[in-house]
Amino acid sequence: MKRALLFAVVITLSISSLPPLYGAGEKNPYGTATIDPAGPNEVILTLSKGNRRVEFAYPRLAKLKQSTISIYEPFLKKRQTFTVIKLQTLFTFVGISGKDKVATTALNDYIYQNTAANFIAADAYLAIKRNGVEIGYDQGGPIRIVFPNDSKWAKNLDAWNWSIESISVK
Amino acid sequence: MSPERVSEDLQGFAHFKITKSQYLLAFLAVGSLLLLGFATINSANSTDQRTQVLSDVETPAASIIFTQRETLVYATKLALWSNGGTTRRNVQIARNLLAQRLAVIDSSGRTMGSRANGRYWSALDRADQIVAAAPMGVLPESQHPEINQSLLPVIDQILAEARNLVVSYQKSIDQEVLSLAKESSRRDARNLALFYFFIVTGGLFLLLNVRTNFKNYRIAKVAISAEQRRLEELIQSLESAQSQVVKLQDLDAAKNSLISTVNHELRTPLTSIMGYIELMQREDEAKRNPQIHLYLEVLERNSQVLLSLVESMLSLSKFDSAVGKLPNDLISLKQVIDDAIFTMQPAAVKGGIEITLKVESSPMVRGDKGQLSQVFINLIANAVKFSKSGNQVAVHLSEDSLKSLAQISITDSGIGIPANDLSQLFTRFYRASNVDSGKYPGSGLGLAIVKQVIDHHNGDISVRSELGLETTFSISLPLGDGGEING
Repeated sequence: MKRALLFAVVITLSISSLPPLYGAGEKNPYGTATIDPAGPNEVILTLSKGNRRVEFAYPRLAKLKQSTISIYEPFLKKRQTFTVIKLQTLFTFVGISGKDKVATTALNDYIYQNTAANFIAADAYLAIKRNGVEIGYDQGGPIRIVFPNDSKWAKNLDAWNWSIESISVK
Repeated sequence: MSPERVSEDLQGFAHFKITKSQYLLAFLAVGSLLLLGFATINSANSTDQRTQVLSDVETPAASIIFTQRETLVYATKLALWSNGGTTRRNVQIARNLLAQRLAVIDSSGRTMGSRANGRYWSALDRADQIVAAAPMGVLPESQHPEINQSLLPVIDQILAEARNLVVSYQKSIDQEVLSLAKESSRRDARNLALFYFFIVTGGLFLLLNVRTNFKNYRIAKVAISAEQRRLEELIQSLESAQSQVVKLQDLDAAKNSLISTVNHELRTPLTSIMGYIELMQREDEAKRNPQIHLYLEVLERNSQVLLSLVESMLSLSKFDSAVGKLPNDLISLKQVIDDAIFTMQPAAVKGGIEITLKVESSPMVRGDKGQLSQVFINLIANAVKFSKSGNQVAVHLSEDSLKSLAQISITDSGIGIPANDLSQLFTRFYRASNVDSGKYPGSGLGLAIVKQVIDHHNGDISVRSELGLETTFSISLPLGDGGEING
């Protein structure tokens, strides 16, 4: 009896010390519990083209024209609903168009570049909410680039830049 | 080899032959080809599906690179923070970006995090604890040594485990690639085996088929040679026969000439004999002596028979000589028949026989009037000869306009002809078996002459008889078209 109890304890401790075999749930199982709060009106997106520069805090971004799209999220392999702003709408703030070489830069400095025309043709969106709530950093938030299922870049994963902080044309 | 056998063999060799074993080989070859095609399509589909899977989702290789990158970024942020270079919030953000990367599901269907080992997680947990215990914002300088001291081994461990993660992933990928390669190799081996099987069965089929058909070719060659020899022999025989025909034609002409001459020579003295017999019959003394008169009658009858024979032979000789030289005169059959009846009328009257003629139409034919006259004289003479006194000989003339034929029938009520004799009736010198030569004198040439003349005129003659009752000769002749009437 004692041996069985000891065996159960060892097994329990062993299991608790192992990382969880996570699925792709709504909450990221690999994330941390907390993130220090951001400063007031902290800028989360900077648009720039040459000398023109426009900065967006989350409230300002949330006031722009939005729509909701349901897409198959290719990294977590599940259908999710995103509240989105057309990237083309954002381009107009600094006059990005046509053959401008647009660079989307993430917080971890990952950069994806292509022409504005291709972004527009691919029907690119900036997602600001997922399933009705703000997107956490552990979910690629707070803002990320997404594409509808019928987009020509729906499977171009390089273009799905997470946690972006700037969209710029140099 | 007989000609029939040669012909059968040649017909057999004219077809492409396939034996049962060759059918089996062909079936196996086609079957293996179909299987090969199916397997190739299947392999291509599998490759497409694999490629599609790899293109649809992030590959393990990409996940490795990005996971290591995020780990390095996080380690860098930790190092910066521990030296006052950035805020705790930025470290937490980097940590969560790493978490996002660890949650990505790659093409193998697993998250990156599910593959990390316990040391990796313990290092991250330790770092999380250190960060969580520190104050918000930039780390005060006073805490740098303490944090650095506790964090540096953790950072080293994180970096080491990141490398280990790459290595373990690399092994996993290697295994996956190896597995795919094995699967691909297995498919290739199967396809290759099918291909070899197809080559072997197809090759065997072709080999056996060529062997069979080559054998047939050799046999056919022998058969053709035999046939060629046979044809050459036939040609030689034909040439020999043609030569003999020419000789026989010459002989026939000489014979006809001889008969004509002999006939002429016979006829002249016979005519003289008969003249004198007639003179003797008129003498009074002869008339008074009935015995002499009887002798003279016998002499006359035999002379008539001899004369008739000579006349008939002369006619046949003429017809033989005239083959292919038939005149094309337009002749009235009614007139010819009228003349024949007129000629035979004395004999009929003498025998107490009535000759009637029924004419439904007056058809015209083309040919030789003299020969046709001979036909009807012969037939009517026969009818009269074999009829008894008081009987009737009926001649019927009509026309079948649909068939363009003139039709004549001559019917008597005489002794009839036995059925066995009907087929030989038109043969030269043939006489029916029921004919008493003493009672019915004749040469057996009359009907032969009739048949020959009708044949020369492209006509037809047939006979129908009931023994002891009646006999009917039916003649049909082609109608002649319009033209000069030489009646």
